[in-house]
Amino acid sequence: MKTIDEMKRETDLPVVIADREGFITYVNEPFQVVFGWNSDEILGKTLTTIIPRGLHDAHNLGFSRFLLTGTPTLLGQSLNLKAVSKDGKEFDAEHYIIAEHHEDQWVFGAMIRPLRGDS
Amino acid sequence: MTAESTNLINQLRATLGKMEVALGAIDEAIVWTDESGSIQWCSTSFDLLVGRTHLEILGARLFDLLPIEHEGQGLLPEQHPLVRALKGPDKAHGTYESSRGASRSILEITAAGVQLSEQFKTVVLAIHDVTERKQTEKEIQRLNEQLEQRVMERTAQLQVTNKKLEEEILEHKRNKEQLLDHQRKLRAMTSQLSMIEQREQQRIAAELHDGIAQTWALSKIELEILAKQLSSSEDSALIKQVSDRIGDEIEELRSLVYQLSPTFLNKLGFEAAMEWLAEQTELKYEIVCQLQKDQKPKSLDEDTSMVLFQSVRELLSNAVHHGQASLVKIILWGEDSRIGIRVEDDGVGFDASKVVSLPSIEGGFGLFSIRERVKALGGTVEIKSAPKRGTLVTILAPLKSKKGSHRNR
Repeated sequence: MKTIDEMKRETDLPVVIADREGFITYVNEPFQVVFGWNSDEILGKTLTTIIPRGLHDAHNLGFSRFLLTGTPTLLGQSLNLKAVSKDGKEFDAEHYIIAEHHEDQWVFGAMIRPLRGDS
Repeated sequence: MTAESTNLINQLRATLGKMEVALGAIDEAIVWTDESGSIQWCSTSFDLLVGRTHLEILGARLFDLLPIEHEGQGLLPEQHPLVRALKGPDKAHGTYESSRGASRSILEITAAGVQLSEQFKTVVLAIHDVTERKQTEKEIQRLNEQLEQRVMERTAQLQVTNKKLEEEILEHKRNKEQLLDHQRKLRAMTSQLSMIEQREQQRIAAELHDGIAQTWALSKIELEILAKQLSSSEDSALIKQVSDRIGDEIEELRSLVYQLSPTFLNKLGFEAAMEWLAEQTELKYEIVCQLQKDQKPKSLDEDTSMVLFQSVRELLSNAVHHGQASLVKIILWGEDSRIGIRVEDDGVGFDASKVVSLPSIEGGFGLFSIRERVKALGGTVEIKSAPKRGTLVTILAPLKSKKGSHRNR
């Protein structure tokens, strides 16, 4: 089980960190390469920026439910989800998502490994 | 970002979270798709319904995830509730089957199109798993049909039994009618047999009386004349002896004639015949036999006097042989067109309620015969008796028998 700090030190796989509102607060170098966003461009945007449009509603509802109940349904496990890059291309990727309490606030971190046969 | 914006976001997040929790709490599976059928969101119940994790479901196509059929037939694309709801304007509703592995579910699906913008339309589907309910309904129907079947079978059985019973009743009725018919024939035969016997006896009696008896009477007179003409007292004594013997024989012959034919006796009258019978009974059996009669006329026809004479004679014989009586009374009376005869004795009696109405083997015709013959005349026989209380038999008969006209042709 990785921590946010460990994720920040990751150099091979794309990592994205967001605050409790879902705004992106950090991306690493591999993320910028894979998703095509510069750090300057992506920081302050919502997580839905890298989620395909069809999953926005489910993301918003699920994210909101977690904030309300604190009960995770998909954290701390390997998940195959679609992601979308800056040029709008969707691709399958293995996601590993965690949440940590930092000064009474949730912080979310995700490590994303693109899978072969990207669409 | 201002504090107020953050506050608003938090509020909206809380609202969305509550909605997701609330929607997840209901049993009905709720699924929300875009126009292509790709699942945008679903409730926890839907996860359970299709047996997949939430993330496996999101983005998948409903058609692939939950293939449905209608009454065992696959659906054309335009028949799918999702497509029907998209075309609108009405909600699509129906009952479908869905197979997952070996298990087969019955689903009630309601699909409603949701126009989000002019170009963008989505569909919300509420799916209710009614497998259990349908199975229960089916089971109830099966049990009902079984029950109906059993009722029908039982009814059929009862009808068969009923028919058999009816047939048996009919058969029983036929047998009874046959038996009654046989009884009627037996009565007629008994009566007829008795008549034939009586007539034959009468014929013989007439022959004896008019032939032999007359000849003997004449011979007796001639012998008496001859005896007077003879000088030898020895010879005349001998002839007198022969003549007396012939006289005895004539008496004997008359007695025989009376016994053979009471109707012959009837030439003297029925009442005279009764007197003779009483006398004969006293002489023959050494008992007291009294005759009482009124003054009313009792002119009987031939058949009636024959039957009544035979009956009284039979009753007297019964009183002596079976009743061991020492006193027998014969009472005769007339009433309008009928004659009444009562024979009562002081004998041992019998249980009248057990007297069989059919002829017994050892008893010959006896009471049965009397009853049948009197009945054939149109009369009645009443028997009163009890053990050690004697016997009282009352016969009432018309003066002219029903068959009289037939007999006298």
